[in-house]
Amino acid sequence: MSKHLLEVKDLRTYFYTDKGVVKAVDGVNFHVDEGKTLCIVGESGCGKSITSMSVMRLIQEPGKIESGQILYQGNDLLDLSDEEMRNIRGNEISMIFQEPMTSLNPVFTIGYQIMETLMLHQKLSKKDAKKKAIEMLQLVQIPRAEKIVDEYPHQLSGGMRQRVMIAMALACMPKVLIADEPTTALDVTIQAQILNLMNDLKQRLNTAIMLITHDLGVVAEMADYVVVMYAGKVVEEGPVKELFANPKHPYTIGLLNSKPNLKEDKDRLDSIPGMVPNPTDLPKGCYFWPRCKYATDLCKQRQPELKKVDSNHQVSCFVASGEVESSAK
Amino acid sequence: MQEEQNINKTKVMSPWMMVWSRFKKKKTAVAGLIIFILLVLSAIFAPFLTPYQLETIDKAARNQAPSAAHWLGTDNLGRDYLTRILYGGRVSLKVGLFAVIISIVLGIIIGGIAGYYGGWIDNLLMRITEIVMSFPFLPLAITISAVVGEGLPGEYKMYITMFIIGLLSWPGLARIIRGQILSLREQEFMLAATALGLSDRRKIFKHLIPNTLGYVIVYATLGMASAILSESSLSFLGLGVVPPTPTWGNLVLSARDAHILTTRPWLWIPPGLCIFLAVISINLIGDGLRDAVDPKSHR
Repeated sequence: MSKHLLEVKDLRTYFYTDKGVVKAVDGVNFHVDEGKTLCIVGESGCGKSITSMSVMRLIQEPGKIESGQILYQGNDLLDLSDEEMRNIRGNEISMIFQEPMTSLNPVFTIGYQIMETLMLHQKLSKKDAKKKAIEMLQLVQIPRAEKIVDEYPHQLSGGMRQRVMIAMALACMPKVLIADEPTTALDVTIQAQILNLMNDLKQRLNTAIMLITHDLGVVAEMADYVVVMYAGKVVEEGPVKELFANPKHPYTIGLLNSKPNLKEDKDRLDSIPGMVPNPTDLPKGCYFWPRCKYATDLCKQRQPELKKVDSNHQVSCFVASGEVESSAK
Repeated sequence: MQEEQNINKTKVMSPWMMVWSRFKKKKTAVAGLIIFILLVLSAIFAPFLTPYQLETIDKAARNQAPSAAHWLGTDNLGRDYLTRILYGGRVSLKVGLFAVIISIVLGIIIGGIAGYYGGWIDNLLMRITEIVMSFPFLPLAITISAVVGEGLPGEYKMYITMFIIGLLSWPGLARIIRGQILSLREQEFMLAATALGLSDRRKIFKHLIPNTLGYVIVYATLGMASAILSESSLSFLGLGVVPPTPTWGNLVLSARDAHILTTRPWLWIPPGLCIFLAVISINLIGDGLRDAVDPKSHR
């Protein structure tokens, strides 16, 4: 029995390349509840996007979901036929992408693209679908919706297109909205508007949001629960307040330190030394130890597991969970 | 207030309206379009443009030179020649149009599937395409026509000609479409379409093909010109549409007789001129469309 709306269990997505197997997502667990926002945070290449694509089953060759379960309302999405999966996509779970400039088909009007999902999934007539499309555009606060509905993507700005994408994604009232870095390509003022809009819609429609981002500012504003990923694994997870107030994993601490702070006067921002390891050639032991100043001998030999440090705050680090003493301070 | 009115006045331009507005600026293309429309109209309204019936044979008026009664004279059976040219235009244009439609349908399906699925499907379909492409057109068309067309009544010859031309001319388009789709399918909007739960068929034919339509239209116009030429050559060789059904191609056939060639030029110049006008006007349209469809081509 699963009480969660969407639950990912031990998800492993591997890519079989010429240079070897890339374990892009390696045993990830998390869940999303109705009306809540889950943020997945991490550097580029840590497997955030692949995780979200895996949930939608959009992984393409040479990638493959090796094992794990993606339970949506208790049913495993990985067991569904292509046909059943198509009925889930866009209808029950939908997705917004990073690049609003290229995510709309240039040859169709905005209206048609919103109407298409409505006609497909909700079996609405053309007339009703158009009415609904205008409503959706108004919902995402596009001015002159009745006019914009007949316009083409090239006539809209990036922020407008992202709103259209959200309108498309929400047209069928999905229960889960996956947003893969929805604000990365937008400028800061538009970012804030889009995030507010998503928060607003979440409350109004009770949608669960799974937000992929590398921007901790976005996390602080949006998230209820945060999952921090590193090299395909979850290194720390917890409620947003707890995690920001009391980060445990050295990687999370590093991420938090590398963001600008109004209260401190610094010339340079802190950064985490080193690079994300080459995914075909991961270090033995904890994947983070080459960049970790607390690294101990144990870290270099064994991989830590997620351990509870608080009722719902988990961390996978020997030092943070108190299994070994680190010599570094 | 003033500004608001201005906003409302700017009409939404669909991509096709933009193509049309660019097409309009090109004089040669518009000239081609006008010539082509005149040819099509004359073919459609042939019965109203001539007082004679297509099959009326007037033995008293055989082999006449152009006169007030018969503007382009009569043929060896006393049929009005202008009438035959007008009706011949019907057949020639019809064969050209349907041959192109057949080749477009095949090209879109084969190119679309090959480009979208890639892998061994692509490999298989493209090898077939290359095989069809590597056949020399005329000898093969002549062979098929001779084998299939044997003993069939004259009217069916027209349809056979359409199919032969259509079935042999799709590879070029299939290749163009495959190439386009190979790059289009990697675009993010296709991922978005998948994420919205669209089926493969819908993605290929509703989302990808419309994106290639610019190329398809250019190809179709140019393809129609070559289909008309192919039909003429086949008919001229007596292997396409055969008399009594007239086409521009088999009307020119009369010029094979050296006597007619030298003494009665009104029998072969007008249909030849029609072929020339049809092909050049379509080519001008195609050229204009190519520039109008491709945004990179303007200065």
